[in-house]
Amino acid sequence: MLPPTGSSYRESAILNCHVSTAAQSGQTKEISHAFEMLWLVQRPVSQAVVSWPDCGLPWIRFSTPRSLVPDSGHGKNHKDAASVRATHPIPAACGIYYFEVKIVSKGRDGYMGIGLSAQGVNMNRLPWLLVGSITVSDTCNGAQTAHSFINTYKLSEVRRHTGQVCDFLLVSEEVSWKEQRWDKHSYGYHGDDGHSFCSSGTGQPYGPTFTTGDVIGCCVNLINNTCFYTKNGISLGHAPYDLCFTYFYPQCILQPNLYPTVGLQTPGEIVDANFGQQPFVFDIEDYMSEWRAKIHGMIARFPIGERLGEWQAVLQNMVSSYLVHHGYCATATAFARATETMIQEDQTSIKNRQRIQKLVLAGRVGEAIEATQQLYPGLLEHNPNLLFMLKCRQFVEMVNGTDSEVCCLTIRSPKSQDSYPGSPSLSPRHGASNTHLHTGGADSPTCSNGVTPTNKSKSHSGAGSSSVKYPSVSSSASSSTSSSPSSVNYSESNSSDSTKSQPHSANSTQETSDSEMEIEAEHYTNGVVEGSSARIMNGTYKHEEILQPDDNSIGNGVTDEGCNNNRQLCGGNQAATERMIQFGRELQALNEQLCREYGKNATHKKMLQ
Amino acid sequence: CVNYVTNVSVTFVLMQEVTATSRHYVDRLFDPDPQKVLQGVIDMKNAVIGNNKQKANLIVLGAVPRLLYLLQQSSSSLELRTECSVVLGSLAMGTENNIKSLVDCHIIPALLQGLLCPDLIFIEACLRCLRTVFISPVTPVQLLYTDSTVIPHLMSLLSRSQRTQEYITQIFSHCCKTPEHQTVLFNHGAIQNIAPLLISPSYKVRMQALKCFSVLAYENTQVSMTLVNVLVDGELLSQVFVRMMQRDQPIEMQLTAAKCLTYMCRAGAIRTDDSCIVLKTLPCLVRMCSKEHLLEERVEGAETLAYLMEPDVELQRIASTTDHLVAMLADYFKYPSSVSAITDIKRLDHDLKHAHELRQAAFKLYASLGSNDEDIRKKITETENMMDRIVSGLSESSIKVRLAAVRCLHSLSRSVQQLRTSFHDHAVWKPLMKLLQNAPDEVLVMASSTLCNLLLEFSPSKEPILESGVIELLCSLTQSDSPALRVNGIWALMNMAFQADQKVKGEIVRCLGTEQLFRLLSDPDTNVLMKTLGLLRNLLSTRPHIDQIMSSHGKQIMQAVTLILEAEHSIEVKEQTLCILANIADGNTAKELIMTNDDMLQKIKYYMGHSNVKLQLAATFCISNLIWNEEDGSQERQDKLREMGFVDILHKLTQASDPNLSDSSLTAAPHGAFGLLIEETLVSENWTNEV
Repeated sequence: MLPPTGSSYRESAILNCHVSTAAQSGQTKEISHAFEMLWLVQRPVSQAVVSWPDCGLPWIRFSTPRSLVPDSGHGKNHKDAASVRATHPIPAACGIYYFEVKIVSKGRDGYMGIGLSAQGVNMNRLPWLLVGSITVSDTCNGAQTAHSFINTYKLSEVRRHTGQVCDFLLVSEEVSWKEQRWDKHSYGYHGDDGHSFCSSGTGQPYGPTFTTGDVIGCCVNLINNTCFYTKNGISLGHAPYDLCFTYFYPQCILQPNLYPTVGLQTPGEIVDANFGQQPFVFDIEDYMSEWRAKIHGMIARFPIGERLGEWQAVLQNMVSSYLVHHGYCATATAFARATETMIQEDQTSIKNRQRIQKLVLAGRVGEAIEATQQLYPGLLEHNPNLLFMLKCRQFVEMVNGTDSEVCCLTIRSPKSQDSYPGSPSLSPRHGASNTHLHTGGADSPTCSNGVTPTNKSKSHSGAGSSSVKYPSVSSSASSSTSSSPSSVNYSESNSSDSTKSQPHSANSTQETSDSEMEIEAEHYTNGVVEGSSARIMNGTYKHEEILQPDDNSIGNGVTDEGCNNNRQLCGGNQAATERMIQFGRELQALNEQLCREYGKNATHKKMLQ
Repeated sequence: CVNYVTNVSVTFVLMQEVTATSRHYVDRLFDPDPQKVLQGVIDMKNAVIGNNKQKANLIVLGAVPRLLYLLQQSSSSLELRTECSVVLGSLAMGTENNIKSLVDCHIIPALLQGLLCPDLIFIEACLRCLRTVFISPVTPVQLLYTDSTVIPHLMSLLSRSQRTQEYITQIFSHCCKTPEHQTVLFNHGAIQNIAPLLISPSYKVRMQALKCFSVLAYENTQVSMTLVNVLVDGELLSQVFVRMMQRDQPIEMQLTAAKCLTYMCRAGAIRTDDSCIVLKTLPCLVRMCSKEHLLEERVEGAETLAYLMEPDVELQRIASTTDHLVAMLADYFKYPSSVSAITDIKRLDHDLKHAHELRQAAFKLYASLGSNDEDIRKKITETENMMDRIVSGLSESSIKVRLAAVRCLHSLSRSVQQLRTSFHDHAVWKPLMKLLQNAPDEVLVMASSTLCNLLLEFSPSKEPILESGVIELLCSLTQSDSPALRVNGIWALMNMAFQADQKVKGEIVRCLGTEQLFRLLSDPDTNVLMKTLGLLRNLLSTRPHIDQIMSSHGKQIMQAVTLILEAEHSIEVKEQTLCILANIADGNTAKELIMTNDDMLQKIKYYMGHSNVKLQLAATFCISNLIWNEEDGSQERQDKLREMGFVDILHKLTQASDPNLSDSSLTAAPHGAFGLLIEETLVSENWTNEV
């Protein structure tokens, strides 16, 4: 590609965002009511998708600053495309979600796409949400553009970071809109041919084409996992695919959240988004009322059969079994006493289960497996699939560095490990401190800035960097120490072993960094806080044949968190890495074995990825 | 209650004694003690509930006249009269035969008489019984209108109670079958009286009122125009209907409200681009076509939708993209499904019953969708097995399906592309020809109209159709009593004659016969006349054909032309006739028929000076053909025409403002310096035959 030619194509694609300026207008109530109406299940309005990644700044319109090369027929190439995601994902519990986009101008060729896309990262593992991205396809210009975005918006947003959901802009240059057609979990309806695309490069004929003046809507129905588009208020019917949502158990989300997305390709394309600030052209409330009626009808007609008149007993049983299932054993006992019912399960058994659950939640899956084998012999043997799932998770946790098998290798005394999170009662606090740590890290730009240069230098001169990195880690650790006493022990152990493991880390990464220089460079220029972890990840999967390239998503996500928590990664320890690789191979073997026994299993495949 | 149970069990257990028991009930009606009669009627009521056999027995044993007598007797207690009407209502709930017997006993006047009583409970009982009788298809609805005081009285009863509202509106909606009925109800203030019921707290009342409006507005401009301006509780009626179409409302209500708006729209009271049609009614009706609804609802939805968008191409376009309608309709052909045949007889029966209805509804909707837009037609023909379905639909036993299938085919036949491709591939002409052999008129109209399109010059089906002896069939159609069939017959012949070879033309003339041809030329229907002239024009094209036909039929044709030119006819007809004359003038020998006819030349001269440019042009064509330089004897003809003073007229025409005309006049100048360029104006009539 030739260098950018200047500003002539600067305004190539403009996205107008009418952001709900709820605070400044008297319509606040109305708007929030409108949002509430959009939710079958009530949730705080603050989590609703309200805008494109504008982060509440008064910049209503923004352009994707790309420069195109006149000779190469700009806009014709997929690589010239860009897509914009909304700041927030579609809330998992909303039931039915809808947004509309008005085509203000079709630009030169009208290659626009409206739809949904996933982040491509395992959201669950990230305590914060990556809330929107502008993708820039011009690889030559990418680095520069990325920087400009970060400088302008990202840092300011990092400051606004609230600890739970941050309005955050990530610029990643590797994904472009048209390429996103091939991405997993991206769904789009294209204006030029009226085709609909689903995670693949070839679209299916779907609806009419659309152009200037049309209002295109996209409705996601999480009740039956379908999606349909509307044109000028007329429903075009279900898109020929089911959406891949696995929202129901937050603990085991394998598929990521979906974001309202708009893709633009040729100069002059302008669209206006409406997330509910203005009345929709399509009568979405009518649609929702139908579903509401359907669900009410379903409840009303629910067959109760013989048990008519035993409502009380049924309800009590329901409450009791819920409490038992989730291991709230004291509450369950109290409830049983009050209602004079019996609890089927033994208390110790409940406690045991609770302990295993906590181990899993704390990421110490290996211990959890061990405990299960001890307490419930035969259970895992009879459920090889469950075992496999657990091992997969264990592997992920190993990469993360949480799992004890790795931790034992990195931390001096295994006992100290035991002494800290060994008792389940501590683990919730452990979780809290995680968040806090992370928050501290992200809150202070100096910290994150501190990390980035360190990494950079580290990749060039291995050993010297450890001294640079060390203070930055301890600074963040000490900042957290003051506010959270419970984490003192933890951060100390971390900082101490990070000194020790640093050379290893440098060594291991340097091996790969030669071959992966390019990729790394990109990561650095991104300036993303978790640069170092990403690099380690790159290195890891280079070694790791088990992991397919896709696991970028999971891997990145996991390691990102690891880094933010300042917990030492397994990548920091040679022995641990080796153990991990070995474990990965075992996992692969286990999968093969299962395949032989039960035939191919799609879920397993997915998990391996 | 105990009574009821014992009685029922008695009738069940002792079937052989049924008649005896029934006899006992009837006998008790004649008891001198009114108290005992009342008890007897109550017992009878309990005995007949849900027992069709008992009902039939009682009717046979003559209970009805006695009950009616008791009902009408003012000396009877109100309680007795009420119970009587309840029993009668119960009897009416039985079979259709029961209803017939009741009507034969003059139950309707008796009950209507009963409505004059002030007692509400009695009135309600009478109304309930009347309702049951009137909703039966065997009851002649005219009985409601025989007494002119009935309707006003019913209107006044509307305010009495929710029950009276429900029953009366239900009676109205079942008894409003003709435009006259609509007018009667309208004139008695049905709209003002029923409109408030649309917001009644009772669902049944709302529903019946809505149904009432749907039958009142159907194809009735007067009612529809009034409806749009009606306010219900400060809200426009159309908005009330829109509210009733909301998706959480019962399907029946959504569907009926959509019908109301559809009828109002078709009657011109609501614009087709009104948002309540485009964004509400149309999507609602499309929704009704989806799989999740009952078969009846899908049929009704599809038919109403077809009716709604029939005249409006924009609605057709919108509908074609809504919810994959075109693909969704393909499901209508999948009944009875293979699953239902195996799993459950009841469902198979149900499916079979509705299969015809579903198919005809789908064909109708396809016909409506594809009537104007080429892209939609393409989409339809590309739907799975569509052409095969139409072909098999053409030979189905049910007339309704055949008619709908041929309508669909007609709609699709307006596409040049489809005519050339799928129509030919599937040999649709075969079943079509078969259909034309013996079909009722309505099917015949559609089928012949489709045939017109299939006979167009570029249609590859033209040849095989010609070989199958279609000419005789079409000629017989031209003798039909129905103007529509005559038009289609002659139209098809006209299309057939266009650029046809001599053999076909000769066959047409021979088969049709000059007599019939001239009868058609004096047809009262202008359309028939126009198409006949078109046929003549197509027959008289290319020189050898002209000469041949004129040599055999020249005299009659000249006569007919003279007649038409002399008679009072529209400009178009005269123009067409002059064009025929121009064609004749193009023949080698046929020219002489004009040249020797001074009267005709005078007529041509007259039309050259006519105020209508089209006629001037046609007449000038005629002259220029006569004086064409390169032919034998052109000099003599030019001389003759010059003598007759055509030069002046031509000169005048060259000064005329119309560039089209002056050009042609210039070339026609008898001085013959210019080559004449007359384009053969063949009839390529607008072949998209509107029916």
